[in-house]
Amino acid sequence: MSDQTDSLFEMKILNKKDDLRNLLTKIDGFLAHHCKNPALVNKIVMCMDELVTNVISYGYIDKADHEIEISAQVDGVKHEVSITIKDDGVEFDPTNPNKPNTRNSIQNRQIGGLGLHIVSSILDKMVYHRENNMNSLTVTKSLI
Amino acid sequence: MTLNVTEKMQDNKLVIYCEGRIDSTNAHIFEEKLAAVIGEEKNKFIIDFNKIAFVSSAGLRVLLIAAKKVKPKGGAVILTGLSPEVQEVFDISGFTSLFTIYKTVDEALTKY
Repeated sequence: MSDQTDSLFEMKILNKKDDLRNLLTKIDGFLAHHCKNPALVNKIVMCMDELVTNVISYGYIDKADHEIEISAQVDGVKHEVSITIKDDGVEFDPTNPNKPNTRNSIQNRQIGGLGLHIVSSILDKMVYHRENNMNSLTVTKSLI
Repeated sequence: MTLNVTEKMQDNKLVIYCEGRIDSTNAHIFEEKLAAVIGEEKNKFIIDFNKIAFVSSAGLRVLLIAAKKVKPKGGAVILTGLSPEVQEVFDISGFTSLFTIYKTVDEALTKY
C-alpha cells in the first residue's frame, strides 16, 4: 500500500524481503522525482535498505507478520528529505551503534556490523524515539 | 533495480561483471556466484563494479567472506570500476585497505 503526492511518500510494508524490494523500488522513484543527482538518490536508497533490513532481521522475536510504516517528505525550501520508519519491533536505538573495527586485516575482520556505521556516516541526521511500544526513527539528508 | 552477475575469461583471468545494485534483497545472487567460483578453486579473480549503483553492507559481507576464503590459498579478490559513492562506502567501512582496487578491468588485467 503506498501513496505518493508531490512531496510526500507513504508506504506500509510487512517484514518480508519481497516487501522491502518493493519499498526500495518505490522510494527510489520518489527520490528521483525530487533529486536530479542519481548518486545521491542511490545513497539514500541504500540507507533505507540498511535500516529496514535491520528491523526485519533483528526487530522481531516471533515469526508473525508485522507492519512497518515508511514516510518520506521533501522540504523544497531546505532542499532536504526526511524519512521516518516506524515499527513495533523490540526497542532498539540505531542512532548509537557499536562502532565496528574497520582497521583489522582480512582474517581478523569481523563479518557484519557495518550497516548502521555506514548509515550514520552518510545521513545528515538521525533521531530516534520510542512511543506507544513503537520504534520511530527519522533520518534527514540534504538533496543538494 | 536488479543485480546481474556474469563471468568471463579475459587474458586467462577470470572477471566477474556486476550490474545493478547489491542490496540485502539480492546479495545472495552475488554470494552464490562467488561461492561457485571459489568452489572451482579459482582463488584469484577480478570483480568489476563499473555498472554498480551501490553496494550495501550485505554486499560488503559477501566480499569479506570471499576474501577470507581465498587469502589463505594465496588468492585475492581484485576490484575495479568503483564509483565515488561505492568508494565512499568502502572508505567508511575500512574496506579500501583490504582489497586491491584498480580503476578499470584493463588496468587490473595488466597489473595482476
